[in-house]
Amino acid sequence: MRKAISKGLYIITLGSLLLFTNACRKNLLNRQPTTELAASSFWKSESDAMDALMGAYSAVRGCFDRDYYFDGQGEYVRDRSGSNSTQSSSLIHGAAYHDASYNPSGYGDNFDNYFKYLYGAVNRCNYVIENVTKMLATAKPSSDTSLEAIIGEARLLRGMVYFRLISMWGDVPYIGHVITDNSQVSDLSRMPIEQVKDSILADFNYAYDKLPVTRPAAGRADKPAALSFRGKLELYWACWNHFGWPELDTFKPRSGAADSAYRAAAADFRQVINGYGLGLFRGGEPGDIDSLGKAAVLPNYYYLFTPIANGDPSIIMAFTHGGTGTGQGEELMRDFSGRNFEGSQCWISPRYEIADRYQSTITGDFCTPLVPMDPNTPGARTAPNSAINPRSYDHRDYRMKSSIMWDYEEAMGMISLKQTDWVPFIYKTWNQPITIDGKQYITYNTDGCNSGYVFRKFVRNYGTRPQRWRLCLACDAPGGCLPHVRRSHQCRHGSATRCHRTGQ
Amino acid sequence: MHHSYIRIPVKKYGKFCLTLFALFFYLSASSQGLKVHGKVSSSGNQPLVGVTVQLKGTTTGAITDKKGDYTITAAIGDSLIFRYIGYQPQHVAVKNAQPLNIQLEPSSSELNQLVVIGYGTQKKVDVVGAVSSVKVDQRLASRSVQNVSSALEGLAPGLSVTQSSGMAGNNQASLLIRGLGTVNNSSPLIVVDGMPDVDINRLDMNDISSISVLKDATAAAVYGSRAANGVILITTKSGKGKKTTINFTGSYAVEAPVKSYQFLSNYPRALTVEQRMAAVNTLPSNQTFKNGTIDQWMALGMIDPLQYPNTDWWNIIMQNGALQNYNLSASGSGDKSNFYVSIGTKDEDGLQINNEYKQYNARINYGYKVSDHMNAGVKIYGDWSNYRYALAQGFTDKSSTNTAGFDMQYAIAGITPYDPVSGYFGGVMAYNESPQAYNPYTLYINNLNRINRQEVNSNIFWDWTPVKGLTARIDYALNYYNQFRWNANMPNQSYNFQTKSLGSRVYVGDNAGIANYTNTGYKTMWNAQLNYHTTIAENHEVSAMFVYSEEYWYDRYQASSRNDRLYPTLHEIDAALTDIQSTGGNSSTEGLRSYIGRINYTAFNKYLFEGNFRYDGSSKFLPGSQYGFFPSVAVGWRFTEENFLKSLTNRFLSSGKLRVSYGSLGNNSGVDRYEQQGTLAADNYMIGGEIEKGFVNSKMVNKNLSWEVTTILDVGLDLGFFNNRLTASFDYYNRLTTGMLRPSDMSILLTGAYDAPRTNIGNLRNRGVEGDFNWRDKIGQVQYNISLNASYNATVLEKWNEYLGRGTTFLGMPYHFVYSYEDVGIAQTWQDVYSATPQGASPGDVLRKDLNGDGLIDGNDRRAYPHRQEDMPTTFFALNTNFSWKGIDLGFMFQGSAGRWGYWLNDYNKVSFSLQRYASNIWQWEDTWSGGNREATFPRLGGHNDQEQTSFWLYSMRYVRLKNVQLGYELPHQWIRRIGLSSFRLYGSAENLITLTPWPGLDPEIQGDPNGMYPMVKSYSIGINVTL
Repeated sequence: MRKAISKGLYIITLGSLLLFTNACRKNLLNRQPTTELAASSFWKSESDAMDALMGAYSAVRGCFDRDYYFDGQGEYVRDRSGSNSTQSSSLIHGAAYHDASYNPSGYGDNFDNYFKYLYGAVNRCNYVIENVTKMLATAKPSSDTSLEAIIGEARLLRGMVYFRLISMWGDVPYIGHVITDNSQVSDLSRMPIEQVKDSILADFNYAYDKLPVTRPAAGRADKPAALSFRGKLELYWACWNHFGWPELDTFKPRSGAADSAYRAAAADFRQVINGYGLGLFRGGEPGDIDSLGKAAVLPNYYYLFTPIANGDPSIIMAFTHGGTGTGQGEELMRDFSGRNFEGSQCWISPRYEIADRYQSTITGDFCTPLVPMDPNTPGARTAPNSAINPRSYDHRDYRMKSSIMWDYEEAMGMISLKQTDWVPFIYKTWNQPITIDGKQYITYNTDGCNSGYVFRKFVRNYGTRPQRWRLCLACDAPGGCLPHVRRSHQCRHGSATRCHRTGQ
Repeated sequence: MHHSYIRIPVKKYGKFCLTLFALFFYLSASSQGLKVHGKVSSSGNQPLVGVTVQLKGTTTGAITDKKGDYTITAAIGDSLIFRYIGYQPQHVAVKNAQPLNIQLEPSSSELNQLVVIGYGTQKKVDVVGAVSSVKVDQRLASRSVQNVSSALEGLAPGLSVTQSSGMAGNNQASLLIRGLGTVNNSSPLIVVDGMPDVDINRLDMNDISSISVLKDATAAAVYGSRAANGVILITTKSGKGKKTTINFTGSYAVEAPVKSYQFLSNYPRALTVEQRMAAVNTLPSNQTFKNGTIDQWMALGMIDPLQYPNTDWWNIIMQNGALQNYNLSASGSGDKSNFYVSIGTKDEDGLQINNEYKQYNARINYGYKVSDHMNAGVKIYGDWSNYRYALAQGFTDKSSTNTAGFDMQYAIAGITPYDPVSGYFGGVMAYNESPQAYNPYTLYINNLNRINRQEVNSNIFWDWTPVKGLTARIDYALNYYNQFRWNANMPNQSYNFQTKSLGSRVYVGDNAGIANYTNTGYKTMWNAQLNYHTTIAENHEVSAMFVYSEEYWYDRYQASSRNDRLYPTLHEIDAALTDIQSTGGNSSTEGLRSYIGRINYTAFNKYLFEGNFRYDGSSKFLPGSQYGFFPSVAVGWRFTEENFLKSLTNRFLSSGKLRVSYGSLGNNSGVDRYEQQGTLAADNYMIGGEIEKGFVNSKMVNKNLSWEVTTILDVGLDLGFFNNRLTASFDYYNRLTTGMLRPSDMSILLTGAYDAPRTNIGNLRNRGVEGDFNWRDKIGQVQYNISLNASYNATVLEKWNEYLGRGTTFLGMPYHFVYSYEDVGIAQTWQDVYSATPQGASPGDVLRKDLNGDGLIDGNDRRAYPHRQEDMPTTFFALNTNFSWKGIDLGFMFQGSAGRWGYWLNDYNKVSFSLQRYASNIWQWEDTWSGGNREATFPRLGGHNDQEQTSFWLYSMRYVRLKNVQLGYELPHQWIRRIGLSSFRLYGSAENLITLTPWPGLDPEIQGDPNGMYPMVKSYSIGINVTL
């Protein structure tokens, strides 16, 4: 009996000892992340609002920074980027553009990733708009202006995204607030385009109202940007109503609406051009040009697409990128140039149809159409008007040399972030030693070009460590700035371009 | 009545229940009777120490002393029972006062062995869970297996072991118990000396004493939330109950590939293959490669290998492998303490140049008897490894960010690897060859990764037995690791030996930098345990166990890289310029709090009951759903102990046990550490040329997320025939995993911003049978042992809450079943093409069947095979034999599997490939279809849709392999005694000697990436085992 009691006591004592030593590690089951911010501790200050806005900029940037791929759907540019040049889930690496069809056939198919990331950007913007609006209710009156400007920027971004959505898909679902559960959108139906357009207009109006006249820094928006986009939207709306949109069967064009929208667009653009004292890049001067083949001196238009033009007032709205190590680099060189430029892959290249669109500087008119020839054909490089005869390109619009390279045109190579040597482009003579004017070169090397041309645009002509590039947005795409729409190189009228090009 | 306790020194114990059993003995002295004494020895006349001698029907007993002597008071006619672990109990009647000397026979029965189970040990006869136990003997430890996980292959039924690569340092096998339990991480939990989460492959096989595979809910329930996929328990050696010995084992193996790739090393011929493919749609004048180029190469290649190379790459990038294993250990025990210490090393040179893995390890296992009631002990294991490799998978890297990933397909013969005279690495030279062709030699020389890793795993325990039957124990374990990885590639550029100029391809630029990566972390665990054991009314044994446990993980990572290193030979981060650099780092923690319990009840030694539970709380889940409860129950019936059966069966059946168990287990590996917490992620932007911080909300937490739960029913039968010379064991299981965690379907309107939260999506059922047979006997002087084990598993997806499209995952089917087009062979004529459903084919193309007869060939024409799986086999079997005669021992092990099928389609056996830089094979030259070669095995080059997943490319991956042959010779004692040794064994061993399989690819075992190229290893070794 005594034994049983003592045994029982032992069990109780030991058992309770074990249980009360529970506190070996405090908060064992309450582990906090070390590199992510708990959502509950956010939205406390004005700088929180700014941080969230930066997140929204980042999301929207990923939906507009590779618009040059779209040019592959026309006849001027060959684009093999699709799944090659982009990663499937990294927005900065082109996830929005991943796997879509960038060729003239296929009717612009497979843009589901693009659709997805556009709505991703909508959600990011809504997160800023809704939460900053809540802050406004309790904020000091002195903060109102800056908080409203933040909302204005977010609404401008959201408007841009919806504008792109209706341009591509017509009627689209509209999300105007923060979503907290999948069930809130799983049954969402499409909203008629006009209603969406009005919401976009409301966003642009608010942005125009609240944004500062001058942008706080390159990479952010100001009043001229909001006004440009409002004008662009009006212009598109006018075009759709004027020319019709037969594929969109829910849309009924009204000529009256077209008329007033044209007027509104013209007024807005006039105000952008005249109202803010914005000048052209290098005064709109064409600049100097080197002789055929040489590229030591390039026209001003070339430099508009280099970091030299960063922050230039003629760029009305821009998304900014970073250099090596920032995790925010663009891939223009990789897409636009060949192996001699840090092993680039040349995913897109111009075709001879675009070459024909550059007029003569002597006659001001189009030249005799070029004749595409196989380099193996005897005399192909000397035949008159042959596309691989360098003489065919003499005395052309300066923007041609600024934008594309044809046979024997040179660019400065770059390897390991250092300048190498001039690299002459000779179609189908890849990576071969060649002597030009007594000097030996290694020719341009690419496995990505079958059209006889490569781009010079966006490819730096000097080899130093990468600088930060900025993508000109209001002109939509490099192709948008090509001369087939016959306009001056200043991107500011670019908005008309998209409308023209989409053919409505 | 006078009672007194006799305390018996512990000489041999397993763990708690049994410790107690042996530790206390109840003695009641009787005044009348005579002193019976005598000696207990083994059949080899060695005195046995610590044998319990019990007067039958009483609690009176005695224990043999150091000389094996005992004294007990008994009366004439009384019966004495002699019991000793590992020996058959013996009943002897007291007839007179003469010394009663007893020889105990070792128990031949496997069933009497002790089996390590979670938080303790059990006698095999009492085990009611499904546990397979493997004793690591000299033979197993002597095999030249690359690591411990691979060594488990074929040892336990229901444990599938799959090695996917022979790469030194990366040759670990993936382990699965009883099929694919879940679509999430389905690996078993590995527990080493009580500590979960230890890398099994860093252990030294020579240090391991036993391995237990816990397969059902009863066996594994004490590991609760991590046990759904089974548990593997590894126990390292101790010196307990052993006299002091020193062991040395050493082996040296040469390694060769089981099968390896070969490319066409004749470059003109490879260019002609390109021409032939181009001829499908290109006029000769427009083809990339010209006849002149080919003819010139053919002629000059014979006289100038530098300018016109015909490189046999596989000859250059492969080497003979070597694997050396050495281990020196000492063990022993005294009155109060026991120890096992060892040092070991493993040195493996892989089959690929510059692939090398070296490991050094040391272990101290020490136990001490603090007092009569207390024991304490410590185990410390430390290891250190150096690992060198070029790409993650050796020759390849499946990471999409590695541009060299699968470039081996571009390793054309027309590149000179390296010219030692000029010091240049070769590049492309042939006219029109792609400048992006690949020189693998430069990569495997100049772009190397190195990993140094150190680990220390230590644990201490202390136990206390205040009263009989009750033991308290505390364990504390700490595992620490530190890993440093670096690369500093050597600059080099391709060179054209024909033009004597540098080519455009820069393999590594002059601004080559340095990258350093450090991973470090630790895991701690502390357990407090109570055990109680008692026998009630002689025939009712009850034991209970309770454990409180806390585990904590901490991991941190830091990486930095800089461009422009100061000098090519330097590799630490400060040896580079700071102008371009990047850094990264983070840390994470996890906690687990657990309450574990077990009750065993055995009545009359034949009715067994066991109940287990574990109540786990994990920091991965939100408060409210942090805890999960995982119970199990099992019953067993040793029917051969029943008298009414005994009379029928005892002539052939020596033991028999039926077991049934049922319970539930969890799996928390499907959830990330902070996944359930609402957090904002950084997503930065550039403002004014500077990075500006940005935050985004990418999480939409599913607050209802709960544990993935697996319930298992297991029915097992253990039989021993003919005095246990033949043992057999059968198991049937039915295992249902419910609420598998998968990302939910989320609207495309949200997926651009939010990661789809995980949800409990579906159920997967595994059913299977296992059998394990062992025959052990002696013919004359030949002792032999034959064991066979086999298992069959069928998995079926029963429920999926979201949309399932047409594909290899579908309801009512195995997960990733074969879903294939059927072919009717290669079209020989246009008539064949016209007779088939239109599919754009020409003669020489594979024709597919229009299974649904709608006149179209599309995805609807694929056939689903319910009994063919793409990921894993359904059936495994292994046959292990061992013969010994005098000092000679010989063993064979065969092993194989069936039920897995695969498409033999990869980057290196294409019939439509790139028109430049493709490294072709001889069969692409001589065995592809053409008008003049209609008997060819493969379709025409450059054909139409010939590389679809059709039955044409579908092969069974079943195989039988002669896994191991080992021949050993134990030198006669009289020879070695003179030089002071007690044993000396010399052996030769071979691994993966013969493989029979219909699979034409690299190896039927390889899983995952079909483009991996590292061969499996065949090895021949010689070695010695020496005991001092």
